[in-house]
Amino acid sequence: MNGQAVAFFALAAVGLLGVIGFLRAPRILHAVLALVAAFLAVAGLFVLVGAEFLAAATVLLYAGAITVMAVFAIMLTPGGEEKRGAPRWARGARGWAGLVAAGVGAAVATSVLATPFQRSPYAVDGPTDTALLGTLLLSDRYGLHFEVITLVLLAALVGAIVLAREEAIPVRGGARAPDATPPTPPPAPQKTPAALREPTADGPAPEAPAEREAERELVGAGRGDGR
Amino acid sequence: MIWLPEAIVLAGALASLAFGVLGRRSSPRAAMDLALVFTLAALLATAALAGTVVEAFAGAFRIDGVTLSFQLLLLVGTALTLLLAREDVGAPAPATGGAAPSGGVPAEHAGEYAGLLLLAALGGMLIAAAADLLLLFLGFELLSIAGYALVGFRKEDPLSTQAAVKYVLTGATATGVFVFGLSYLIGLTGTTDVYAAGEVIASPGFMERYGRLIFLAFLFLFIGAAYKIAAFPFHLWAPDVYRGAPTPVTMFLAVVSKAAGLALIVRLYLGAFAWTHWVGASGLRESFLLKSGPVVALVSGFSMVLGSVLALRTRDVKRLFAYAGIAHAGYLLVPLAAANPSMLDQIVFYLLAYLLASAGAFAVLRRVTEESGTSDLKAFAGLYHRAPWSAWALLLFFLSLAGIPLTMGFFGKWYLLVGAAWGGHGLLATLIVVTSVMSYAYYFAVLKQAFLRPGSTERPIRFRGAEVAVVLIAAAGVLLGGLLPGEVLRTIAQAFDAAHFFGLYDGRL
Amino acid sequence: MTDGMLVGLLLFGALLFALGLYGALAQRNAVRVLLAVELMLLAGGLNVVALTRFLPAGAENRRLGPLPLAGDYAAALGQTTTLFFLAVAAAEVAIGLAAVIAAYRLRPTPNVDEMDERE
Repeated sequence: MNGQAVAFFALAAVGLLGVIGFLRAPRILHAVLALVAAFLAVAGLFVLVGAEFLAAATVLLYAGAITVMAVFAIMLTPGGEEKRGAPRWARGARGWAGLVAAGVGAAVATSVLATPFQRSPYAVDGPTDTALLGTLLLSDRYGLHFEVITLVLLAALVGAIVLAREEAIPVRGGARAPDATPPTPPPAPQKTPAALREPTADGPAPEAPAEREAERELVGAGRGDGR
Repeated sequence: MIWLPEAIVLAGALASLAFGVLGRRSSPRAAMDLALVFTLAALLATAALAGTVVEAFAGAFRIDGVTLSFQLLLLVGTALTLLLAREDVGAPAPATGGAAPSGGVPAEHAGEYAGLLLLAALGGMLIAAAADLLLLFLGFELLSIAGYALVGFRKEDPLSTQAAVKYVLTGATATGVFVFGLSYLIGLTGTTDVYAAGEVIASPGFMERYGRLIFLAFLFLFIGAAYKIAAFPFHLWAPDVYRGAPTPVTMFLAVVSKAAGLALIVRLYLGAFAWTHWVGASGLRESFLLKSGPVVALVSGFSMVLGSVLALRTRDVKRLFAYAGIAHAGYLLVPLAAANPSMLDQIVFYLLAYLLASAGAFAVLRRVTEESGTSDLKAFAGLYHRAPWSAWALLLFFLSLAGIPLTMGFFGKWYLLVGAAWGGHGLLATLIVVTSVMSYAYYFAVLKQAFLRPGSTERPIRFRGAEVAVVLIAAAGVLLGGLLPGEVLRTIAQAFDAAHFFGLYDGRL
Repeated sequence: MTDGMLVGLLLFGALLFALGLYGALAQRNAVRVLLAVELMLLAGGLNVVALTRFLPAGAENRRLGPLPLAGDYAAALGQTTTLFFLAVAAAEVAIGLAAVIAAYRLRPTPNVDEMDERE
């Protein structure tokens, strides 16, 4: 058993333990930490196959960015781990999910084992020149992909901001905000005017958009100051 | 400039986003109008490319019959969606106050609403134009990610935001499955070009060695892509998401997303897999189609049956559209399962019929749910008395969707039937007939409410201008396709002159 | 890289994928589901890198012609592919977490199964 094999088995073991820890940990923060170990192990495997830049990217993106984002989301959504009891359908669902996952894993694994791989004479060992990766990313073909991935990230950025941003309370139906002066901000969301609004014959009472806009901004500013 | 349509849509998306930030003080609907203008310009630019077969970006980007017909479908669907979405901006919250499948999006997000709709459409167009596995995947992701955000745009309503969560989680899982399949296909063939991958698969000795893994890759890719058209294994997201999303977004998912998903399946399946032949170990000629056909038929059959059965049991019209959409996804896969020379014509014709009828029905549905604050069947009660012309239009759209003679939908189903019989798939043909009869039942349940049941109020419903426009365009299309199906089919078939799509296998390779 | 190494990496990838799939299907917490999906994506990335390093299909292709720099090119191609997978994974997590936060604001639970509609 040479050094490479030892490294592979060590990293695979760490990765496996990390994933199992992620799946089994009762507290979600522990689960995320275990997952970081798995991500780092995969980064190690990338180094082992000569993908050094990719290893660095994995550490930055997965172990860094994604995990931090997840921790933020967990902090912003407390209370999920308190109810330990399984929901009524969960037992069955877990068994079912385990069956599907085991079946898929077994199918892939047996196919891999049954395949007589043949190493191409062109194949090279050793780390890949990162400059080649850069050239490829900006080549005729993959330059287009590079442009498209920026659009994917743009869509994710815009979408995430729209979804996650806390809105100024929209004030509707022409009613005045309860208290529009900044020093005493109105309390947290409550269905003031919207619920009281009388449905009229043809939809909403037409109102000047500018006026509505101004109201919303006042309320928004009030909340902003209050925080 | 063969990428002009994409460039126009991209420019429209960026302009709408910028407008949302800078031009907020003026009318928020102007952002939607801006997006609509760009979409129509892209439509013209796409139509101007008709008949060209050309590649760009070192073969990653390909314009041919498939690209252009799917792009036209996507752009028409997007334009109709934008018309409906225009009415959504700044529309009041539902009268009921709490969770309800109606209500508009906040006016201050008009720019983002239009921009994300166009980005999603751009993703679909890239799928249609991609001859590269990675580009297909990236277009798929652009469409999905913009879609996730769009579903959650009614931020004050728990139904909408929870629908977004469900859509993201299901979609991400499907992406994981798709990526895993993609990794084996790219890794084993050593190329990201769809047709080059097909060529490697067909090269001597390759399938003997790696056949099992390639077949697994096909399974993963197909199942991952089936999510986008809401076909069986990944269909369960559809009802909740359709119900929670703003109605125009529901229409976008039902129409544009489905067309784009189908473009993905067509390009991937026909480009890399189905048409590959090789000489097997026994010296016999083998083809991938024989191996993959049963899988496609299975997915198609299950989708048809499950969608129809579930649609019979629901009382919510938006959910009904979701279940019916699952069944329609099944129909759309029939030509691929029963491979025959004109299968692309059949798919595009059926998609066009489905697109037009769905768009019209969603326009009526939107007004009705806005009026009543619910999408329960009962919301349609008395529609005939409240807005007679819209009830007649709804009748036309449902007849087309169900496939009653003299509508475009009937001819769509008829071509599918002929194709299935031609391909020797008697069982699939039977399933089409059986599930169509079931669809009469669930569509009739809505019509019964609209025509026969008295509503709680006789107050006339006033449709907004854009909604009327969508209904009129859709009705004209459905009637035209129903009266002149031959002409429409011939126009479509011209785009699929065999040289366009399959010529690759004769000339260049 | 030896045959054994390739098979080992592919098996590890399959294991990661299966465990990720199990997590995605069985977990209740939306954040956990998203992270489980990341495992599935990472498994795909590992597969591509391992396979292109090994280059099973040779380095020539009639449609694209002989590949420049053969082996190195293929390895770089695989890594580029994985880079795209990584970027997409990050985008999905961002939008997914944003959706979770938006839903949580209206109904404070991060658990998917509690998000069912109450009609």
